[in-house]
Amino acid sequence: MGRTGGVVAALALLVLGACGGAETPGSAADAAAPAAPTTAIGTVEATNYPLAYVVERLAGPLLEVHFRAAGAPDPAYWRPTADQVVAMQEADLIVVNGAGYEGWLKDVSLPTSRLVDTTAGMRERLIAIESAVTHSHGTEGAHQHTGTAFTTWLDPTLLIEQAHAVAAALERTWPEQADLFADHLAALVADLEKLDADQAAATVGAAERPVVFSHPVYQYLAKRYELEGHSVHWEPDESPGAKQWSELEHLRDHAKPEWMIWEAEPQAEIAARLEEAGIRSVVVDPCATPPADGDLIDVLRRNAAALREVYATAM
Amino acid sequence: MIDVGELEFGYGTGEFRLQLAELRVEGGESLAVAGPSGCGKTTLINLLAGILEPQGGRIGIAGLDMATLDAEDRQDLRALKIGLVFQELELLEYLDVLDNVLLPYRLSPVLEIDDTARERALTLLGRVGLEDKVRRPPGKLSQGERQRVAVCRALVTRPAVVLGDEPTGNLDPTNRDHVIDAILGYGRDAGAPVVVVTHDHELLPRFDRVLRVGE
Amino acid sequence: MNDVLYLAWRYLRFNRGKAAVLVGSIGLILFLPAALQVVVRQGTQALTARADATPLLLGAPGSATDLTLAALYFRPPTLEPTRYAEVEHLAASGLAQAIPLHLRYESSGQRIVGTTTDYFAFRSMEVASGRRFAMLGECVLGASAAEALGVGVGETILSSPAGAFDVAGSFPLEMPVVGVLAPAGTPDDEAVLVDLKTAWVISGLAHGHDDVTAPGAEGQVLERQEDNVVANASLLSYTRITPDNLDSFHFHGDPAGFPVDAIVVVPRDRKSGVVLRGRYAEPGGEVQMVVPRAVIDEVVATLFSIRNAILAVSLGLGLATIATATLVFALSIRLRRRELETMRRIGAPRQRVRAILATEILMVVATAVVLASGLTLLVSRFGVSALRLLGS
Repeated sequence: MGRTGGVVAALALLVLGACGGAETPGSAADAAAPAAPTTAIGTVEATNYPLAYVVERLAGPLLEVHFRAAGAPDPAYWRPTADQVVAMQEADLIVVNGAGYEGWLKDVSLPTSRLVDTTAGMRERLIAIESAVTHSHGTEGAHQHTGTAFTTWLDPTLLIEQAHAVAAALERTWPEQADLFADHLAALVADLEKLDADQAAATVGAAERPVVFSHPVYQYLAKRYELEGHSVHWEPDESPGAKQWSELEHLRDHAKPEWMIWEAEPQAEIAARLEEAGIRSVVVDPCATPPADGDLIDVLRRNAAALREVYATAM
Repeated sequence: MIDVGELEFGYGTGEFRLQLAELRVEGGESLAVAGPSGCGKTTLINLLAGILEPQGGRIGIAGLDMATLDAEDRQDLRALKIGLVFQELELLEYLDVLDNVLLPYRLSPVLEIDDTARERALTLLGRVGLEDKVRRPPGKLSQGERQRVAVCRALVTRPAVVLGDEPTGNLDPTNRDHVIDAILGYGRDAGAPVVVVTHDHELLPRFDRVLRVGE
Repeated sequence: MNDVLYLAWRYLRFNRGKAAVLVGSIGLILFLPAALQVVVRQGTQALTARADATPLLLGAPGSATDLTLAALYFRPPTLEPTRYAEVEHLAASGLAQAIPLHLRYESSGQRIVGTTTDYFAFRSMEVASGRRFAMLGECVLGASAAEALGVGVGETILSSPAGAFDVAGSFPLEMPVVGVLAPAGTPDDEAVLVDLKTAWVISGLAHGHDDVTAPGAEGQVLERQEDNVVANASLLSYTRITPDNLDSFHFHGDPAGFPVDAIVVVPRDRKSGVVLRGRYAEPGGEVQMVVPRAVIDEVVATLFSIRNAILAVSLGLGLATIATATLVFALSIRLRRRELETMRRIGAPRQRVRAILATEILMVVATAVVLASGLTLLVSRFGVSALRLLGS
C-alpha cells in the first residue's frame, strides 16, 4: 500500500469523521444551528404603534409587520396615499384600532375579509364624545361627525381585549402557529394585567384629585382609574395664547387642579409658568408612535410611574 | 365497311316493319338514305348505330355483327367505332365548344382523354372554321356553328363508320355545305363508310350512292 | 372518376343560381339545429360555471331566480335591497366570507357593481392595466365595459341617474378610471367595479362639502345655532371626489342600515356552508339564502325544453326541405332528358350517367354541409358573445 495508501486512508478517516460529527446528536454543530425560520410567512399592516407592538409580541419574526404611519406626527391624522392603500391590500391581515381612530378607513378600499377591527367586540365600552359641533342641511336633522374617543390602548384591560382579537385573527390565518400565538398572548396579557394592577394602585383616590389633561386623549385612562379632570387643547411645543391661559385660570379657580398631564415634555417656559400658577407638569405618553426609548410596555410603565407621582400613592 | 343482310325490325306495337335484304357500304364510300317521312330512314340509322336491336338479320360494323352484341357492348362499339351526327343530339350548354367536342372521351369508360385527343379536336374545329371559338359556350353560337361542333364531336374519336340523321336540317346553304363537306371529307380521308339520312335533294348528288326507302 | 367530377362540377357552375339556392336551403336546415345545440351547450356551460363558482347568495326575500340573475349576471335588481348589517353579521359568524354587491346604478349602460376588493380575489380577476380601486370614488372597468365606454386608465366616466325623476336622490358622480381588467369571458367583463362606499355616494347616502363650521363659510350658512350650523342651498355636494375634498366625504346615518342588493357568501368549509344554510333556511325571515347552482339548473332545464321544442320544429322543416330538394332534383332530371339521351347515344353507359347525376347531388349536399359546419363553427366561436351583446 505504501505512502499513497496511507494518505488515502487518512483522507478517508477525515471525511468519515466530518460526516459522523454532523450526524451525532447533541454535537457542537447542532448546538450552533439556528432554531427559528429566517423568512416571514406573511405580512400584517398595523395602523398605530400599540397594535404593531401587539402583533410583534404575538408573532415574533414569523410575520413582517408594516406600520406605515410611523413617521407621521400623529397616526390618528395620517392619510394614506393611493399607492400605500394598494400596498396594504396585499397584506395577509390589516389590523386596525377602530373606534373612529382611522378616519381615513371610510375613504379607502381594503379587503374586509382580512381587516381586523380590534375594538369591534367592545362597542359598549367605547366612549362617545358629545361636545363636537354638528351641522345640518336645510331642515334635515343635525349630523354629528366626530363621535368616539379612540385611545383605547391606554386602558390595559381594553388593550388585552384588542390583543385577543389580534391573536384570534392570527390563529385563523396561520392555524399551524396557533400554539405559538397562544403562548405569546399569555405572556403579553400577564404584562398588561400587572401594569393594570400597578396603575390601579397608583391612582387610588384620584376622583378627589382633579387634574388638567393637555388634550382630550385620556378618556379611557380616566374611565378605568376614575381620574377626575378637564381637557384643554395645549401643544407641548407651542406657547398657549392669552385666551388659553385665561381658560386655565378659570379651571384652576374652580377645580383646583395640581397637575397637568401632557402627551410629551412641555417647553420649559410653559412648565415654569404653570408651576407659578400652582400646576405641575407630568408626561403620560399615549404612545401612538414608536418611542425613542424602549417599547410600548416600557412607555406604559413610565406612564404608571407618572401617575404614581401625580396621585402620590406609595407602591 | 358496313355489311347488312336479311335485316328485319318492327316496333312492339303497330304495324311498321323494316326489311332490308342487303346493304353494303365500303370504306370511303358515302351513301345517302332518302324517302318519305315515316318510311323507316331513322329506324335504319338507329339499327346501324346499335341504338335499336333488330329482330332478325345481320348488321356488320367494322367487322363486328351488331345484331349479336348486347346493349352495353353495342354502347362501347358505338363509342369506339361509330361517329353519330344526329339532329336531335344536343350540345351540352354548360360545356364550352372544346369540351363538347371531347365529350365522348369523358362519357365512355373505354376512351381516355389525352393530348392527342385535344390536338385532334382543335384540328377538327379549325377545319370547320371554329378555331377562334373553342372556349365559347354553345349558347353564343349560331345554329350552323352548333351543328359544326356536333360534327367535330362525332369525328374526334376517329370512328370507323360515320352515321348521320338529317345533319343539315334547318341550316342555311353555307353551313349545310360546311357540314356535309366535313362529313364526306372525313369518310374519304379515313376510308370510313358514311351513311347519311337526308331529305335535302340538293345534297343527293354529292354522295356516291342513294338508297331510297319506302318508295 | 375525374371525368364524372368534372362534368358534375361544370353543370353546377353553369347553374350556380339554382345550386346556390339548394346549398343555402339545405345548409340552413342543417345549420339551425346544430347552431342551437352549440349555443345552448355553451350558454349552459357558461351559466353553470358561473353558478358553480358562487357557493351561496344572500339577499332579500323574493324570487331566488331574480336574486341569482342580479348577483351573477348583473341584471337590474328587482328585489328590495337588504341591509349592510347582514354582511357584518355573516362576517362576524366566522363561518364565511361575505362579499356585498350593490347593483342599482349604471354608467352609460354598463352596470356599476359596488363591492369590496375581496371580489377581485374571489373571481380571480387580473388587472390588465392600472390597478384595483384604492380610494373612494375610483372605478375599475371590465374589459368589455372599457371598450364600450371608450375610456382607459387615467380618464373618467360618469354614473347615470337612476331614473328621469331621480333628481334629488342619486347624483351623477364623475369617477376616475384607475384600472382595466383582463378579459375573463364572464359578465364581469361588462362591469364598472367600484367600492361599495362609492356606490353609496352615488345613491346619495354619503356626500362631501365645504366645512360650514369653519370661519369664512358664512355665505353657505343659513343659521348658526348653539351647537349646530344649518347650511343653505348654496352648499353643493361634490360630483367628483378628489384628494382635496376626500376628507369631507361622510355618511349620513348608520352604514349598517345601508342598502346592499346581494351578498356573495363563501363558506370557510363544507361544514360551515351546511350550518349557514340551516340558519337561513327558516321561511319568512328578513333575508333568503340561495344556492345559485340549484337556481341555474332550473333555468337550464327550461332552456333545454325550449331547445327541444325548436329542434322538433327544425326536424319538420328539415323533412320539408329534403322533400323539396328531392322534387327539385327529380324535375331537373326530367328537364335534362334530351341531354341525358345524348350522353347515352354518344356512348355513356347508364351507370356513368347515374354517377354524373349522383355526383351533382353529392356536391350540393357536401357544400351545404361545409357551409353549415363553417357557420356552426362561427357560432361556437362568437355566438354566445353576440347573444350577450344583443341581450345587453
